[in-house]
Amino acid sequence: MSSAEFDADVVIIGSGVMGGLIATELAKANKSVIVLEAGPRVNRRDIVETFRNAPVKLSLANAKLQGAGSPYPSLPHAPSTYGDYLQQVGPVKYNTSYLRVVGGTTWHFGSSLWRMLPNDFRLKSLYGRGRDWPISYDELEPFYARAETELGVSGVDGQDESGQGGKAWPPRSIPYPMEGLKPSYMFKRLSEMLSKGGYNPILEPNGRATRPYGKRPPCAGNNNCNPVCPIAAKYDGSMHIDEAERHGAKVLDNSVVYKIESGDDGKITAIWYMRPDKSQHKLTAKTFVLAAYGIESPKLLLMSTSDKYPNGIANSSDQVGRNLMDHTGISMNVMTKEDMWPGEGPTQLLVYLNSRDGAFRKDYPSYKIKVRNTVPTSQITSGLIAKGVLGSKLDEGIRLQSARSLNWAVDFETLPLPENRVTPSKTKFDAIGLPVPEIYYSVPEYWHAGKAKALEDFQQFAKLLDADILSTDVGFQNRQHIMGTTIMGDDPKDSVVDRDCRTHDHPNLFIAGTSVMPSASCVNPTLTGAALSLRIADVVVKEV
Amino acid sequence: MQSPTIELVPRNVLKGRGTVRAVAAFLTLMLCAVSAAQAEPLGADASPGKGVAVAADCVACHTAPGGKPYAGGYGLSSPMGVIYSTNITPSKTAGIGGYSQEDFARAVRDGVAGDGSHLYPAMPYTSYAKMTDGDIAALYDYFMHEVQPVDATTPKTTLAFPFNVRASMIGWNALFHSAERFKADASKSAEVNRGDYLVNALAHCDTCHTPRNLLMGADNGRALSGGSLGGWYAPNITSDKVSGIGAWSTDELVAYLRTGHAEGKAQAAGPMAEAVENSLQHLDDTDLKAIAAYLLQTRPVSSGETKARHEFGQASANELTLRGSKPEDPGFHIFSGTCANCHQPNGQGNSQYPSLFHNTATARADNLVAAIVFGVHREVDGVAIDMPAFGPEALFTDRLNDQQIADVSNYVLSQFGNSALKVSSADVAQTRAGGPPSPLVTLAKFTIPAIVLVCLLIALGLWLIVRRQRKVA
Repeated sequence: MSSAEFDADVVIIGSGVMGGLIATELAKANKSVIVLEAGPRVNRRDIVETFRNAPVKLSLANAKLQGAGSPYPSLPHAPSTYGDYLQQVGPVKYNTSYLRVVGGTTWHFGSSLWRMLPNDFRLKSLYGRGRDWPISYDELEPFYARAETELGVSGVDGQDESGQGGKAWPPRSIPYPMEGLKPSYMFKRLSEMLSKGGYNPILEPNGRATRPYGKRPPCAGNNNCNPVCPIAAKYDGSMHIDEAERHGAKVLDNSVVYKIESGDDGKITAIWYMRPDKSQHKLTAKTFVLAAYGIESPKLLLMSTSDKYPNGIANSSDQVGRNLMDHTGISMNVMTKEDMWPGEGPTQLLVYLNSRDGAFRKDYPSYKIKVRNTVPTSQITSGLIAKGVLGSKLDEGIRLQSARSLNWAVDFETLPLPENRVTPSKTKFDAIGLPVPEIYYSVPEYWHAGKAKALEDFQQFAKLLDADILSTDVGFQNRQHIMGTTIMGDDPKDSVVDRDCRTHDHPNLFIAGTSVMPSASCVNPTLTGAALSLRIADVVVKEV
Repeated sequence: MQSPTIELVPRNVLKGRGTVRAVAAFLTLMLCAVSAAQAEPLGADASPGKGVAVAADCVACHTAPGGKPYAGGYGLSSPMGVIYSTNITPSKTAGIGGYSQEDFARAVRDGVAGDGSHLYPAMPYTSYAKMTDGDIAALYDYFMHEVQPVDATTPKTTLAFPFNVRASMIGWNALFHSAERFKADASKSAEVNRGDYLVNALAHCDTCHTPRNLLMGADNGRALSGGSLGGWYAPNITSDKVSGIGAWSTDELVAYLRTGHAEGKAQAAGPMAEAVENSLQHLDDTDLKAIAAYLLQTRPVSSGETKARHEFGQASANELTLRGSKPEDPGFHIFSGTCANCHQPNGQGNSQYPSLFHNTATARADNLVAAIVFGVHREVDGVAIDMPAFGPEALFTDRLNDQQIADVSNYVLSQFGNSALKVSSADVAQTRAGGPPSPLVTLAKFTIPAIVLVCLLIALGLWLIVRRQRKVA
């Protein structure tokens, strides 16, 4: 328990999956923990009801593109990223959408929970691109296994997740905690057709329960993973917050941390947070964990300037906020000549990873191709009406298109470029006077080389599926996977945190989440962030 | 040595799903329901004794969640405190390894432990009393030779006064316990007799489904006509066409017992779900049909209903008429955000989730509220049926408070079920607390008068019995 001189043993900033996991581990080890969250608590039923009442029902990426908003609250002290909160100043818009609520962004994630491949940790030494990790896959493997168990991952054992149709890869110390979801008709039919072109189907591991898991019922295929799983079958960070609170952790919602203070010896002494009424409060602790995801975490470090730390906290390397990555992607719409029936089961499951790893990564990035298992009925309908299709012809058209129109999307690995960065805006502030994030993002030739390769795959897919390509979007689609902005490395001169995710500059400040990742791979990063977070928890339990 | 019974200890906290199985009180329906109990399927080569053990569902009460089978230590909460079951493995030190077959028979059928102390009827010996000598011998054989001995002791028991007076059981037994073994009724078929034996002896259905009198004895004048247990209600299963199961077909009854689900009728939840999971699903069809045959020929007992409990309700059109019009009924919003995802906005369910109308769960407020508070969990043929709990065990993002559960219950009752019923937040609070208080516990609050009254009643009972026996003699 904390001694009287501190408010808590550990203060955690951010209540998402990373903060929740660490809070749970620490609370279970009888440490006193306070978790701060900028946004409010939300109830599932309220989000579901808001979604049901919304005239436009789209997945999160489309909702943002079309300005449809989100069923999650946007509050003056915690503005939604769906609005104009993020300031774009670079050549490419980094239209990410994270959530500022208790439980964090996993509330609306599709719940892909991948492991990276061993080679993803050695990008520089193998392919001369980006950076190497200071730790190897083997070192992280036990934490991947624990993270999969904690988050409740369902997956298919024995798949070659490197996409080559070979032996099971990467190596695993445990089977998937739950067996994989049964593929729907569409997934089976597509797999069958694309296999003829040498494309190896892979069903992605994900956070949807396939049997009762803890308090989660099995996935019932509501096809609504984002914006919200209506029955809590899909993992989200609020579940670990729930567990942490049952073990004694304290969660302060609507509490926006705006300053981290360090003593001259480098030890963090306190954090300051603001309530919606702008009242200011201070908390002290032995150890601090920053887990506010890849935009807010660096923004807070950069805002925390002082005479001793004029460039902000943990920023002696000048790398805080830099190396911003994503899985910047492209997509295409096709119309098949047979009914495929998208919309049955989860919103995503089938992926192709033929170009996940290989010597080609010297020349172009690793990428993943996925099919979106959603049916945008309202867009299909408005498209037809715009063409003047009405009456029974309209019904017919909706039926046809909803059964046959498919959206394919590619996620590319991006590289940690120092010019791609997050900074606190100098000109724009939110309602409680805090600077909003300013984002500079660009895409190098390396990415474009990948795009050219993926477009060849698209052509090939259309041929194998006997489908017509209706449209292709190469407009740098954001994939909501924020990485790199508090990058990990052994050298304090060019990285922010060390191999334990401890900041080089402050021995009692850790950074949890995907922002520490030195390479992005082409797969969704949440599980990697969770594994790293459990590793942090082990270190902090021993030290505090 | 500990006696093979379930005993009371004055504790109040019970973790995990066990609270679902809150038991009303001392001397009431000591319904043991252990979700973690590992009932193995009965293979074709199973010994007769194993068959008896599964039909009698010993494993449910005598196994702690995650514990070794029959090693006891499972805690059941009651208004008196937590009840711990004992170790009935053949361990010489911690279990019943030292029991002779006679000791064993006496414990199971007469409620007297090896050391001569009286058991509390948490152990359903009033039903097991009817077990045949053959089944007792087979069961003894099973426990001695097939069950793995576990030397771990279970929590020791001392009861809060006045319930710690074990000798009071002599009086209670004189009033409510019959040592008579099962006798087949020659005027009935072999099937009905087998069903009678299962319902009233081995599977001890009567333990929960027969109402209790003021002193918690079975009210056999209204046998199988329904009783409260914890927050749940074990309904009338007599052959009455309205109040009971008289309108059910044999196939429906067998399907219900086998899977916990009868289409258009009912699903097993709470303690019944555990009876299905641990015991009934493993019985063979002949036995399940025998239970159905027996129930369908029982003396009908009306509990005053005018409509069978599976006949209520219809689909709702509210989603179409109210969406977008800002309806004020808070129950509509909770239903839409919480229940409609699975049961569908019109309440008709789908292939995975039951309809809310033509469903006994929405004909009674108590079982509806209990299902919402505690959820529904049962595993049949390795497939889990899982409705999350929305009470205190729920994730904070999904939890409902008493008023919210009352609101949504009233919405469901009015739309899909018995619209004459109303639920208040106090009703929900009572379900959370383990159901209506037992009369005996209420009496115990007035400790001294209660003891005097109980003693007087017992004495009176003994006197009556003695007098009657003399007359007979």
